[in-house]
Parts: sequence; C-alpha cells; structure tokens
Amino acid sequence: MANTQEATKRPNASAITEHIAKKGYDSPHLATSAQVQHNLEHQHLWTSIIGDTPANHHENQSLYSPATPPHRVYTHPDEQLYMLENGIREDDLKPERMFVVPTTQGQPWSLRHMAAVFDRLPEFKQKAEEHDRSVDATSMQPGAESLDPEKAEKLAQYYDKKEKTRVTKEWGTQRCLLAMVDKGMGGDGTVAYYVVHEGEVKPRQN
Amino acid sequence: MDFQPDLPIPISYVSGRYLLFSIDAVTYLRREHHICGVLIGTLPQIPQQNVFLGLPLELMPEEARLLVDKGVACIVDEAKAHDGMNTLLEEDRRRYLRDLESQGLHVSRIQSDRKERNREQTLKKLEEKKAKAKAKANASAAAVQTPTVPEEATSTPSPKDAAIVDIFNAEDRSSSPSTATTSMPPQGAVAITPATSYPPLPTPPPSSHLSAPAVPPSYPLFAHLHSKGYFLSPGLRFGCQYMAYPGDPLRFHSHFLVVSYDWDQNIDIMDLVVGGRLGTGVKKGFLIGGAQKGIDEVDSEADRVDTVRAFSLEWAGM
Repeated sequence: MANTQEATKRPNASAITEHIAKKGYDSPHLATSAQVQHNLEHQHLWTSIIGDTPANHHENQSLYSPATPPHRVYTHPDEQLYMLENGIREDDLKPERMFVVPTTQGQPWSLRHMAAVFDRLPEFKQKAEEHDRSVDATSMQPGAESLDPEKAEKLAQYYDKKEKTRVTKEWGTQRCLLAMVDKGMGGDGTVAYYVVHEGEVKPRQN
Repeated sequence: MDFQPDLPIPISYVSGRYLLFSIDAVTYLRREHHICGVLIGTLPQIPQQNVFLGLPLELMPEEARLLVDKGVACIVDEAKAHDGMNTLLEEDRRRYLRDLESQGLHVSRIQSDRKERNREQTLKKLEEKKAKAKAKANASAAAVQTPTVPEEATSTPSPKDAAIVDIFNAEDRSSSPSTATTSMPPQGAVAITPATSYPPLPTPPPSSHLSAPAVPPSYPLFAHLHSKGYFLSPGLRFGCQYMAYPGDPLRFHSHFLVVSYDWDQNIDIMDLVVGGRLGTGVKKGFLIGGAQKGIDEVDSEADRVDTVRAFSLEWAGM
C-alpha cells in the first residue's frame, strides 16, 4: 500500500532563491546583494539599478546605486523647509540616485567598514553619473517643457542651491542606504533599510 | 550678572566621583563651556524626593577630563584639602563666622523688607479700590459722563506693574537705606549653610591637584561632539551612552543617541537596527562613532579626538 501513496512534494523555492541558485554566485556577499536588489526592484519598485560587479568589491562589501522612482528616500529637514517655502513638491524633482550597502545579520561589521564605504562613495557616484550620461539622458527628464516658467525658475534655483549645499553640507552630508537582510533560521525575506549619514546630521522630524 | 569664577575651578574628587559644590561654578561651566553634569543633591529631611535635585553637581569622568584638558578646572582631593580645617586660625574662624552672620542678617533684612512692601501695596490697592467705588457711585449719582473712563483704564494697571518690578528689584532696594527697613528691626539672622569651603580655606596650590581623570574608551567621541557645540549628558536613561543636544538641554530636544565603538570593534548589525529603531521612535538620530587611532598610536587623547569619525542612522521608512 505504501508504494501507492505519493511522496510529499517539496514546494518550489522562491523566485529569489531560484535566481540566486541559477546564478551560482561565488561569494555569499554577492548573493546578499542579489537578494537586496531583488527586494528593491520588486517590493519597492526602484528602477535603473546598476548591479554590482566584482570591481565594486571592497573589504567584502559591494555597493550599488539605484534610482528611486516612487518617492524620495531622504529629504534633509532644512531642504524640506526650503521646498515648502518655495512651493516645490517632491514630484517636481528629478529622481535621485541612492547608494545601497547590502549587509546581513552576523556579518562582521565595524566603524572601519563603515568609513571604507563612505570613502569609496564619491568614486561610485562618479561612475553612476557616467553611466547615466551614457544612457539616454532625455528620457529621464520629467516633461520639463510642460512646466510653467515660474515653476521652472524656482526649480532651477533649487538645483543651484542644492549644488551649493553639497559643499557647505547645509542639507546633509553624503549618505547611503544600509540594507540589512535577516538570514538567521533561513530568514523571512525581510530587508530593513536605514539611511546612514557621514558625520552628525540632524534628524528628520517625522 | 555673568559671574566669572577664578580659574581653574576646583572639582572635588570624593570617593570616585567628580563633584561641584559652587552654584557659581556650575552656572559658569554650563553657560561658557556647555558642561551640564547631573544634579544629585537631595534634601536631608526628604531624601526620597528625587524629582527636583540640587547641589552638588556630579560630572562624568569625561566631563571632568575635558575641563581639565582645557585648563578650566582642576581635580582636588576633597579629604586632603579639608585637613586644613583643623589648623584654621582662631581669628580666621571668628572672622568667617561673623561674615556668615552678616550675610544671614542681610537675607533676613531683604525678607522683612519685601514683606513690608507687599503689605503696603495691598493696603494701597484696597484704598484705591475703595476710592474707585466711591468715584463710581458719585459719577452714577451725578450724570452719565464719559471722560472718567479712559483715565481709570490707564491708572489701574500701573500699581500692578510696580508690584512685579518691586519683587525682582528687592535686592537693590534693600541695599539703599529706605524708610521701611529702618522702621522694621531685623528679627535675627537667617542661618546660612555655605555650599563651599573655599572662603575660609585657601585655594589649593597647583602642586596638590590630582592628575586628569581616567576616561572610558568613548572619550574621543565625547570630546569630538562637544567640540562641535553639542551638549552631552549621560544616556543610560535613554538606552545609549550619551545624549547629544544641539543647545542647552533646557531649550532643545536632543538630536542624537550616541554610542561609541572602537575602530575595529565588531558591530552586530542587529544593534544598528535596535539603535536606529529606538532613535526614530523618539525623533532622534542614532549616532555611532569612534577614534580611528588607538591610544598607543598617538601622543595624547586630544590627538585621538581629531581622528574621530561618526555616522548617524535614521530609519529609511521602507
């Protein structure tokens, strides 16, 4: 009788597990990156993700840099105030690239790692900008010609100001997104995201 | 008003704690050097009430060290310094007691003066009220006339204003002999308990100062944040090492929960989530940091402060 009963079939692995298995990453960090990338792309609907390449590796870390179409991840409180005063809404602005650092629980992590990430950030920023320029730049513009001239003027001022604050650090220092994957006990696919700033940046009042 | 104490300010070292007993020193350090410390004094009769604490002020070793390094303060072994109390000259002792008594008399004079003035003011107000009532009665009896109304409106608030000003100026008034003080005999001096013992005792010589306090490994980050203008207070109550306020804690909410790590100390990713969560829950940032160089790589702690790097974390909301 026993041989007539069908053996219980194991359910299929999740899409991300299958994806990782198929790719056969040679380093667990790459697999973590893939998981975070997958999460960003399909759960948070980020686009134009520049995936990691082996060249991006540094001290067991991989950095990559996607754009954030649904909404901005971070707006400095002073920047927010400026936007409010000038009637600029978040939707008016160009999407901003955010750099993501994938980590996983139990991974060795220290201030040295954190500092290394920020030291390499300008380099990655430059790379990402070059990449963006090579991609058709006109498609990125959110219908600039449909804006009324007053708004366009305000936006131009905003971008000028933004460029200046990059040096003065009025609107925050360079920042990245720390993605933390829980892999303990197999993990539940949750990824926690934290914005990390270099130095002391006052918190948002949310 | 701004009191300038003689520098360096002596910090009393009593059984492992760094204490300040002079209110002038406490306010000066808070105002000029952004050092707040923690008030730990209770009332001897009601030691359980710990909502409002008073002198002495306890300083963290980090705070004491910072002040010593800046040359603003020095550490004095309190037990040794008070040996001098036994050898105090009889004449000095008597002069000191007389000084205390005259201070007490001064206080009691101010108090009785104020009482007398309040009484006078109340009487005056009563009289005014009576007069007003009479005037009103007269006015209504005579006819309906308008010009009295604005006059009343201007005259009524002035005695009130005067009363407020008088209370705050009580000291100035009492110093100049007024009729009220001469008429009131002082009813005995108020007993004064001085918080410091430096008027009778000589200021300790620099040779007797203790060396700079030993500090925990988090000192470089503490000094780094302090140099950026932050007010720091102990963070045990809030689940971190230090709280960093952008200005005086009485005026500002804090910006950061601060935790210090050594440069190569392993940080559990979960600790970052825990700190980030805690901070975001109370509208603060979670700040981690530490000195890049170890103490054996540089000459002094001060050099390490320059190599501090800090990172602030906030929940991304996704």
